[in-house]
Amino acid sequence: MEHTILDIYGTLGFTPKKFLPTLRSRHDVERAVVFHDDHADSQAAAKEVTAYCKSVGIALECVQLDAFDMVECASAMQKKVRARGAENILFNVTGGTTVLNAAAVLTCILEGVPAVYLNQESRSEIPLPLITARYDRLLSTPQRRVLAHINRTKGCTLGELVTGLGQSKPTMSHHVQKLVDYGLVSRRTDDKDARIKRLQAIPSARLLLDGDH
Amino acid sequence: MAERRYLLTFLSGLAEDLNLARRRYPYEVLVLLARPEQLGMAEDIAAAERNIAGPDACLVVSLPPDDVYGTVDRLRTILDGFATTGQIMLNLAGANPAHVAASMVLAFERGMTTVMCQHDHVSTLPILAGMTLKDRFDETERRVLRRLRPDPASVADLAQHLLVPKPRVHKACRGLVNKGMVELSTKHGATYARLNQHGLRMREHVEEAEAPSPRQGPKVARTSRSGQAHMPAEREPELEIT
Repeated sequence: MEHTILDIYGTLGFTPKKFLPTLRSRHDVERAVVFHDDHADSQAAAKEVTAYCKSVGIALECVQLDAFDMVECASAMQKKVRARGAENILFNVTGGTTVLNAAAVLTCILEGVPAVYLNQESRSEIPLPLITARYDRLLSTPQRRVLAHINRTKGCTLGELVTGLGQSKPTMSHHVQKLVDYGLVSRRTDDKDARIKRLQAIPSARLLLDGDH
Repeated sequence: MAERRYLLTFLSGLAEDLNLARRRYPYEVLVLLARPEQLGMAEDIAAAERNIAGPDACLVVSLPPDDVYGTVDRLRTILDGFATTGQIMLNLAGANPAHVAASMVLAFERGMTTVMCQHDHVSTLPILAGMTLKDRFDETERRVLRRLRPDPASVADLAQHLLVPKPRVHKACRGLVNKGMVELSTKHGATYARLNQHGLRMREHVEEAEAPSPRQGPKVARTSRSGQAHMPAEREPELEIT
C-alpha cells in the first residue's frame, strides 16, 4: 500500500533551493516544518519558504535553532518528530550548517524517519540509506532506566543509583558497565573526594530516552 | 593485529577545529577526508604530520563532493582496509551535507565513536560504540528479516523453511515488530508476518552490509609516498536509487 507523506521537514541554510524542490515535487503535503539558524540569510530563506507555502496552502512552521549546539538541535527536531509521528514525515536534510545536517540525520536515524538528500548537480532527490528503525530500542529496558536515572541525576554514584532504582548492586554495576562500554556513560572522580566515582551520561544520551529527559 | 587508533576527520578550514579533535582524541593514524578542492590543504597538513610522527602517520582520502552513496562506498572501503582491532574515531566537523549523511550511515552501521569538534565545542553522538549492524539483531531475527517480504508469510512456513523451532521464529518476529520492521496478523488461527516499509529498507541494508567485499588481496590500505590511500577501482553503489 502506497504510503502518503503528509509532512515535509527540512533544514535550511542561506537559500531555500535545497528544500523547496521536495515540496514542489509532491501533491499530498499538508504541513512543512523547517529548521534554521539565526543568521540573517537563513531567516530570509525561511521567509521565502513561508511565502511559497502560503501560495500553495501548506501549513508551515519555522523553528529557529542554535546552529552551534548539535544536541540541542537534535533534541528540538526529535520533539517535533515525536509529536507528529515518524511514519508521517519525510525529512530533507540537505540545507543548513554541518551542525544542522548532523542533527537532522541523527534525528532521522534515532526516530526511524525517512530522509532525502537533494543532489546539487543533478537536482535529483536521493533517499538516504539510513537505518530506519528506532535505534534507541536497541538498549534494553533496564539499560534505558539506568541511563535515564544517570542522565537525570547528573553525577550520581553507583550506590545512589542502587538506592534510586531499588535494584541490587551487582545488577546495577552490570548495566552501568554496559553503558560505559557503549560510550554513553563515563565514570569521573569526585572533585572533593577521590575515592568516590560519579557517573556521567554524555549530553546526547538524552536523545535515546523517551519523553522527559 | 596491531592496536592502532584512527582519527578520521573532515576539514572545516579552521585549524582550531582540527586541533581540538587531535587534542581530545589520541591517535596513531590521522585520516583526512577531503573534498577535491581541499586536497592541497590536506596534503600540507599530512606532510607536517608525517614529519613529526612518521610516514604512516597520516592518510589523505579524496571523497566525491556531492555523492552520498559514492561516499558510503569509499568510506566502507577505507574502513575495511584498516588493519587494526583498535578504536576508530570520526569527527564530522567540516563535512558537507552529503558527507555528513554518508558518515553517519557508517557510524551507526559499525558502532563508530563519532564526534563534532567545531568552534571550541565538542559533541559526542549517541552511537552505541562497538555495536555493529549485526549486533542489533540476533541470528534468528536476521534470518527471518532476510526471508520476509511485504506479502504475509505464515510463521509456521517460516519455521519450516528456516529449520528453526516455531517458538523461536515467533520470538524473532515479535523482536522485529518491536524494532518497527514487521507487522503481524492472524488468520484462521495462524500467525502471519510481513515486512513493512522500514523493514524492507532494513533488509536491504543488512544484505548490503553483509555482502562480501569485492576486493582481492590483503585488507590493508596501501599508501603512496604522498600518503594518499590507493583504493580499488570504483564500483557502483549496491543500493538502488529510486
